[in-house]
Amino acid sequence: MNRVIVLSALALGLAILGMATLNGAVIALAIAPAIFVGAALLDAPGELRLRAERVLSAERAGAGAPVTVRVTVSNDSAQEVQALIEDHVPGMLKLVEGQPALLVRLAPGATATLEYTIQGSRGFHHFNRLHVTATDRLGIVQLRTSVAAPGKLLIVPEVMRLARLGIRPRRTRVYSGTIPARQGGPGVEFFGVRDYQPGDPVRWINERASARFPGSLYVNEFEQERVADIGIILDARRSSDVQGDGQTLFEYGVQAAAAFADALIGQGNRVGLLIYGNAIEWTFPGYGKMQREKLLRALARARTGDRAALASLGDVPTRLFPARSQIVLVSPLQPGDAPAIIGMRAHGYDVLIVSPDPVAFEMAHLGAMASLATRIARVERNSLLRRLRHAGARVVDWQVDVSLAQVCHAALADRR
Amino acid sequence: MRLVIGLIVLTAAILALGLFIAGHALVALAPVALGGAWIAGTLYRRRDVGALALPGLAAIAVIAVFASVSPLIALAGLVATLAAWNLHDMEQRISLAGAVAGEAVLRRVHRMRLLIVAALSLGIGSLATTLRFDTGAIGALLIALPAILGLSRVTAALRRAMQRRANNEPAAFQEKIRQ
Repeated sequence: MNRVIVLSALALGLAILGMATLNGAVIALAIAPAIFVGAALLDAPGELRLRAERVLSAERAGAGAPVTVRVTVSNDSAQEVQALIEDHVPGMLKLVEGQPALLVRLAPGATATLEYTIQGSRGFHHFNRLHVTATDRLGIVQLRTSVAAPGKLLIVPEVMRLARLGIRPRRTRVYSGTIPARQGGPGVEFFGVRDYQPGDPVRWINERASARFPGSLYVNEFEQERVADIGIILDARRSSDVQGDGQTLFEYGVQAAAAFADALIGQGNRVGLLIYGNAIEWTFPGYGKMQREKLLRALARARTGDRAALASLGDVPTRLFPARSQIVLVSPLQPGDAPAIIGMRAHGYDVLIVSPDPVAFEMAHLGAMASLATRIARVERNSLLRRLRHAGARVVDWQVDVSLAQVCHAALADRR
Repeated sequence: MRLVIGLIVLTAAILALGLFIAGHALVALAPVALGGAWIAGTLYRRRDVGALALPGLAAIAVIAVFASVSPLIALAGLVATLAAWNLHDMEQRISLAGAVAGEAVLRRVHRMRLLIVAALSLGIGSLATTLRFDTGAIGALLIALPAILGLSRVTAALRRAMQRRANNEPAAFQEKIRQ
């Protein structure tokens, strides 16, 4: 409760009681709280002119990495200020060291620094204003205000390093890269034999074939290696997400999408990202480090959603991806997803499914009490995966307690 | 913290001794009990105990005046109560702040100020207990009028403060921040 009101009520109550009972000694008692209030009001903080500057040790950090926040508050007013300065730490961030509040007495022109360390999960975190409570020297009169101290912190998802991924989309781009293009030409891997043409390097001549047909020269042809168009689809439908013990399967999906984006861009491919669920969040395809950063920022913002219009994978706008390109679908998969994925295959897309296993994830949190339900769910999932494999989709069934790199190495090792 | 406890003990001792000397041994137990509760609340970091002890000990000071205890003793008890309450409040603000810059200076400035205000209260209050003047009904009414007006203002301010709290002031502040 407001201290001025408490003391004023006490002083007035005593004064009225003294007057009502015609007792001067009781009126004299009222003087003490009245003097406390008077002294506080005389010393009350006037107009506050504070300035704050926020500096973060990093504006972009990985998940779980500690970030130090330093806020310097300057007193631009002509009077001394005694104040409690409190910073608001965004909800997804966790305080690991220091305190976001500082009680300080600031002389005119003096500065004070508030410093603390935070860490948190992926996302864009915005710092806004400082909450300042200035008081008189006795702390009886309080004046509350806020000071602008904006700041932004981007925490990108953890990126797991994957070995070279063996993917073979039906169509590649014209630039040379690392993905086999199903076309003869310069390369590393043997592709076929053809007639010698002027200009062919002598070391390409296939001596055995040429010796079998005197008068003709044959040269070896190699499989061209080019870059490809790759679209990553991250399933952000809330109905696909499984939660337990403060963990969500969606976070593993985000990690997998980040790992694939990093590995595929690292191989020189043109990669786009579609986050499907809360809305259709589309990151236009591109190459290089800038595109990697764009994809990581998009993944940092990814949230699950529950839109009726986006409830089925059948509504994924596949036309965003070039025809016959590679699609990497990161999804725990739902029973009704098979027709949509088979449809993608029918449209000529090469589909790679990275599926964090929801059955194993949930079972780890439920334990033995759901063993029958687990068996049924396992049978259903195996049946779904088998159906997708028969349709020509490649499936990486990822039990999230195993490293993704290890699973991908076994399932997607370069097949050349 | 030792200073706060010392002041609470002093407050309870002044009021209890005054009441005891005036022959009210049973009533003298009240400030002792309240002081004990306040000390326990301070040690167990209960924030609300100080807010309850202040009106309680002030009421005992008033009772002491009516129980023929010397007004000077009642005044000293009340001033000590106010000083203990203010010091306890300062200790709580320091402990809740988490970090304090220049804690020693902050404490010294506060104690110095408190000492001056308490001495002033005691001095002027003592003077007031010895001064006497007679007034008629009209004079009493004229003196009472500002007191009643002031009380009505305090009541209105109190109601506004409680209304703000009921309307969840922190949420409104968060909203303001978001804007």
